[in-house]
Amino acid sequence: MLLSLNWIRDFVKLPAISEAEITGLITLRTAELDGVHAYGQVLESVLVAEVIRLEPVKNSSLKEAVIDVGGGRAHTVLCGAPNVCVGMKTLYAPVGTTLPDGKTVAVKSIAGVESHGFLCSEAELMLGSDDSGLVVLGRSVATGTKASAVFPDAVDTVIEIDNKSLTHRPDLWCHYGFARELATIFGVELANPFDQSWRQSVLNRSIETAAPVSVNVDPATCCLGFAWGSIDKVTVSPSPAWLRGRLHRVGIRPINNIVDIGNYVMLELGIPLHLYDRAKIKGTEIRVVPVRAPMSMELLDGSTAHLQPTDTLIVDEEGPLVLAGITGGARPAVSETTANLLLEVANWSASAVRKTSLRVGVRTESSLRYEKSLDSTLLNRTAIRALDLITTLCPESRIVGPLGITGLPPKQELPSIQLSLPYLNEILGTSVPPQDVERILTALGFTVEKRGDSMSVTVPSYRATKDVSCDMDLIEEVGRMWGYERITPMPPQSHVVPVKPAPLKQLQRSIADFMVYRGKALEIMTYPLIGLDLLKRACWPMLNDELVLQNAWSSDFDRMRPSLIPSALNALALNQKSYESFRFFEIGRSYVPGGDFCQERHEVIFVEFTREERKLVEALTLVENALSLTHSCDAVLRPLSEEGSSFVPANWEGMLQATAHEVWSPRGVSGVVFEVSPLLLQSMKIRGQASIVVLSLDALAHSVTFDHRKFEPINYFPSTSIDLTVSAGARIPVGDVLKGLREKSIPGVVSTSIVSVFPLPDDKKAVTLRLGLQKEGGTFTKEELQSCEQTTISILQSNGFPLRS
Amino acid sequence: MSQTKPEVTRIGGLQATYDDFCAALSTCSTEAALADLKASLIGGKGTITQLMKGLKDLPLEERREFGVKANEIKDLIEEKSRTRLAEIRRQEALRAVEASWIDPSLRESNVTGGLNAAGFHPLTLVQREVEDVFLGMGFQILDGPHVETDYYNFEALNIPRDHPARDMQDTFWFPDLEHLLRTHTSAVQARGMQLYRPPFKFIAPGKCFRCERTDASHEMMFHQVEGMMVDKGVSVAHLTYFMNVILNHIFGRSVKVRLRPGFFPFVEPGFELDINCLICSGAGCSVCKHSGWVELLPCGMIHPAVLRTGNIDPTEYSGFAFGLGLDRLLMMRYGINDIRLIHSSDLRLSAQFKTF
Repeated sequence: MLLSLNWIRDFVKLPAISEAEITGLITLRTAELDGVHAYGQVLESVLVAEVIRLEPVKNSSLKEAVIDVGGGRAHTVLCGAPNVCVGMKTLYAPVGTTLPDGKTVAVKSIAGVESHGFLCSEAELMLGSDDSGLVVLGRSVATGTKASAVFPDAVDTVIEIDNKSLTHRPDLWCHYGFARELATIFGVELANPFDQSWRQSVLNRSIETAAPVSVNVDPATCCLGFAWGSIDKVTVSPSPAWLRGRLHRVGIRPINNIVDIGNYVMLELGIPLHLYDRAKIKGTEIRVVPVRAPMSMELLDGSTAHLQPTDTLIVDEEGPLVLAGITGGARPAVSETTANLLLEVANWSASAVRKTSLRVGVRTESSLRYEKSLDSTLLNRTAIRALDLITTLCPESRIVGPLGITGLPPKQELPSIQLSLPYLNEILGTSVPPQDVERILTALGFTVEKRGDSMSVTVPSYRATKDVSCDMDLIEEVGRMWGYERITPMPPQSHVVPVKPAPLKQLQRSIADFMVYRGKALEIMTYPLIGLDLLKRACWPMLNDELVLQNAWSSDFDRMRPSLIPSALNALALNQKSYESFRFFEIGRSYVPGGDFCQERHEVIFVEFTREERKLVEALTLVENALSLTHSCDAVLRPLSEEGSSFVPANWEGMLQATAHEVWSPRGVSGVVFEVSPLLLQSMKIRGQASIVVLSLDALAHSVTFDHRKFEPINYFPSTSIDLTVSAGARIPVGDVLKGLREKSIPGVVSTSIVSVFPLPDDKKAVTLRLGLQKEGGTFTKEELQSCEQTTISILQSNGFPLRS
Repeated sequence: MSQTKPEVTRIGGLQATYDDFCAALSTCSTEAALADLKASLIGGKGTITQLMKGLKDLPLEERREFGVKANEIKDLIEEKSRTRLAEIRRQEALRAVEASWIDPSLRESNVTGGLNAAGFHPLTLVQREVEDVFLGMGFQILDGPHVETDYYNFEALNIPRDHPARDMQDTFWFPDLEHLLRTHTSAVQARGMQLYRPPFKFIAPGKCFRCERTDASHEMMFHQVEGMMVDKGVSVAHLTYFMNVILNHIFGRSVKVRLRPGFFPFVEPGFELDINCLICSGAGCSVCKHSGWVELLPCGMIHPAVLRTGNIDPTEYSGFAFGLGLDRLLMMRYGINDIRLIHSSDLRLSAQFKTF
């Protein structure tokens, strides 16, 4: 929202400090500024000039004008404006003037004529938006006068308030509201030109007669009050320069005096209003009615709104005039021929306006204000201000009949809040003197009654609609105006409680450390949102259609990802363009439908990519280490079961089935390890080999909470070992050879491991095993050793691994 | 005299043999050659062994004299051999090392090939740092779901259905209009209050989502750290104290902060916290739009309605809450110029922040 400081000065005398200081204080006390714009510096250089002589310029549409700039000085300038004529008074920018667009006026030569400066349009000086011709001044203005003296209001500073910082302040969507803030900030008086005598003087301009239009408000609508009046014999014409200038500076395009007054009053007092051409209203009654059945309505801007039974309309005999709180229809709009007006100033329920506005997709200056919950007691003042300006700018016009008001909600007492001063100071952490509390609240319009160390504070109606409802709201008012910068930071006195992150948090940290220091991997982040395109490229069969967003802005990110794997494959495809090999990991979430709506699974994914080498064994070893890290002592790695798991769907084409393993424990599957299938790699244009590990952090965090480890006394007696070589099928994992031995605990055998593997003919291989032997409390006899060896050999034999001679 | 000559020769032979041994020892360069040399003297058929075999025919006196000498020499031979052996082994080890020379400069950093870097995402670095500062001051760390309900993201934060404040946040909605992607970590506030009774203090770092077009400074996903402290008598002065301490830690220098009014329905009073511009130290530059201050985080005293939602009596307890954006902090610290890089999965980003 744009605010003119000159306009604000209509109501409050700002101190003689720099505008930077003023705007700085607005930021610290009231609302955030988006910008400050200075207007009218150029008017200090621009002078009033009279056109004395005009000559056509050969081969040009321009004219050569000799102008008098007072003090006996004359200049020759070139001018192309259609309205230039001898004897007119207009504005002249001399050579050296810096224009609002930043350009400096220089001597220009066109068609052999030198132009010393130029004559200006309103738009060129940012006086207004009219660029159709030169500024036309009255005959009485003396030549040579500075333009700033002719248009003093146009030398102005406009501040741009961040609308978001006013969301809670229905009273601040206008100049008068900000004038009150500034009066409080500077401790100066806020003028109230809208008092009872003013009201009476305006209403005195009316002809006593019956109101030409009656109003009927259906209580089933969202109407919170409806004031109306009629004015006859207005003359629609351009607004005077001051009015056009102010509207222009606060970003509203001037149209004609009637429309401009409507906008002006809204920007001054914060309540939207409507002015209708009464000749275009059918019948003598207008009604506020709810929409009965779905219908459509043509709006002022020519678009069509589709309405529903929750919306409210203002209608006449013929049909809709206005979509309540949002915008008018085209039919009753004021035009150049309008003579008689109907003025409407209404208030509407904030939530109803907001709902309709969001649904039909139309947001206007009106709806923006109604959404904030406006004060119905201000309808009357707003209506009178509009009548005031219309009758002032159209002196021959007359108010016809009384000012009507109806549809007001039952009158309620203004809320009164008990404010304890000790509590105020406890919350702010400082001590504001009681007289300052009183001064600030009073200046903001609150009524304060002191009672010991507390105050009974009555909220003004314009702050009572929603904004101020409890003592904390008052504490904010006092705090901000007193100055937050005066509060000294203080450490709290509080209990000391040892803290330790939750198991999942701890695990996320230790697994990230593990992936960096043990996995030698780089951490990446990918989007939790995904699109069908990537899921299809990854051949991922679960599409999470249940978790598609209503308002995604891109089909590439329109749903929650069902797995970290497609995202990781995408990252792999991207990075293999830059690097020959790499390892990366991500700690993230996957999302699946379930529970109340969606289940979020905390997972870690690790990817190792190389051009040639297969890294499955390294990936499996990494997982074993990770299980040890998390004390998951009952978890084992085993070939992936055929049903698939929550990590990878059964028969996912992207996985090399023969390499796939799962982390299994009695509590379920908590991870997978696999190589990506060459077919998927090819289709994703990845040239190389990739191994992937996915682990459920939810499952592992469970293990971390319980450290199962226990010390066993060290056996200091010497250990010995026996090597045995057996033969096995070439494609039997050596792990199977060990597994049989480890399952049967052989007394004295404390470890079994592989020494070497070498290939044999006939699809066989020789596997040399080492048995680690140690006896508790002593050393083995030769017989005992032989017995160990024999037991081992016979187990191996019965498992299909005969001893090689 | 002629009788004694052979005996003299015998002893002399012993000495000569030893002298020969000493001469040969220095040319012995392998363990095997040394073993052979030793064997040729004191082995079964060795010269000294042979000489000793002939002793039994000699008179006792001579036998003793010769025996003493022979044993002396044997000991010397043993000792010299041991010394020589150690020397040979040392030489051999050195030769082996010499033969298998390793190029010490053939390190990963000098060799072409893959990316061998490992390390954390820079956002993790910043997040951990922030977490650690708060942990050190006794704040618990919480998190909540990304897919949230209207209740936790809005209702519980004093933002009812038709509140215009909902416009401040471009929300990603699911079609039921009941579930959404959390727009701020403030959604964890009500969850935290369900978990703890006052006094408590916690932070909730995590991802948030806003439905907006992305560019170098806007991203649909970003990271915040929510913070909340509730106790008896918590004040604005305590809030500014914590913010001061934390920001000094994070920026590693003394940072000036100021509060100004800011509207968020879940705090009252609500503030925008500015820090003095670290680029120009407050003198005014393009980064701070010549104001000397940079907006850093929203904060405020927890609204009584929010406390009541958490079954906390606002007449007994008060508290503060704040929300710190991590992405901008990260970008400020390392000079990252495009927020979209954070989720890009590009290792060319991560590799610049490698641990090793």
